[in-house]
Amino acid sequence: MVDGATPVSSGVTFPAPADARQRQYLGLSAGAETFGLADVQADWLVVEVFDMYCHICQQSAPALRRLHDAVQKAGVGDRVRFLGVGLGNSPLEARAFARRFKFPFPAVPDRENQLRKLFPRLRASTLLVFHRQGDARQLFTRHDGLLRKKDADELAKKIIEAVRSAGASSSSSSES
Amino acid sequence: MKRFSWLLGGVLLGVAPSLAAADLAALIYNPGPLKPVDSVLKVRVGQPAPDFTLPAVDGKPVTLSRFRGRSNVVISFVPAAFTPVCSRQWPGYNLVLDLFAEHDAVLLGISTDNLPTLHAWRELMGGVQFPLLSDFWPHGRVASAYGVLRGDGTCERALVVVDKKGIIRYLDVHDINTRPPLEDLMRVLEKLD
Repeated sequence: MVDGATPVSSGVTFPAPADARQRQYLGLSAGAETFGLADVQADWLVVEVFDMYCHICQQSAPALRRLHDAVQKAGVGDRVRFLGVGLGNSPLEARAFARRFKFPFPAVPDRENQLRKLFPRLRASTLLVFHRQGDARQLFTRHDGLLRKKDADELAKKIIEAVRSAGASSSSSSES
Repeated sequence: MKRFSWLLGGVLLGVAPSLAAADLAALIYNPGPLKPVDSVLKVRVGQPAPDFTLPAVDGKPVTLSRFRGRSNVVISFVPAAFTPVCSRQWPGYNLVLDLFAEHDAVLLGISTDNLPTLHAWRELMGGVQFPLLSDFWPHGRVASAYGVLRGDGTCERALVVVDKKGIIRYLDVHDINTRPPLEDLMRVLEKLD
């Protein structure tokens, strides 16, 4: 199920997190200096596009945590990775945002607004969910603007169902 | 004036939580690209900062010299309420007040808007926690003393760092159309430690 048809394969890169655990979480090699969305080793990738200076993003952060926690609680956390991208933010600004809201996942800066190469009218706060198909990622769903609790709950349900469904179909096809 | 403030504040307080981001964006006035700098500085690094007392949104006037011997002060002049860059700059600073505090620095925000306007704008910005000071009347007196009052009566987008001795340690009259990088400001604060 694909809401959008944006393929995400290459051309947009971010600095790899310095923290070894965060690199491991994303499945990046120890020597990687940069990475693209397609390099994240997970079938599903949730990208929160934030801006430290955007108070809507600040208001959305608790619901993002809620979404993350719901995915973990559902037992599909190993197939879904979360990534924060600070649109137009410097490394310090992206780090400050993640620290303030205690992100349990990596957050990287996108000082040059590279994500707008993929999504020209992209604004913070936007949540993008990608699904890996082959070597590329396809946009599965997105949420623009303030992320409320109910939005997080609906997204969590949608993601969890899709992950379980994909898991069921891949296991049944491997059995056949 | 108070009644107007109460009405406008009440309307925004009541409506803001249910507004979508797009609706909130509609409350922002975009003046388009402006002349980057439209004033001439009257102060320089190493000089004592001109003292001032200004009314704050929370009702308590703030005097710069009261911080002498106690805190470094970051003064953030911004051009106008309800405009795009300003409406992000201050919520961003609000998020990193703890970083300022690590360097014994407090933040004061100043614009030439009047108090009711600043009050309503603060709600739109999610309720920032540092003092918002109105340099509305006599119009722009403090901004003028620092040389950051523009020809149209708004402030420059300027940062002034004043140390505990009341001496100006940093001045950045920034391009009004862009946001000053946080790194630059933090580097200055680190040097004050």
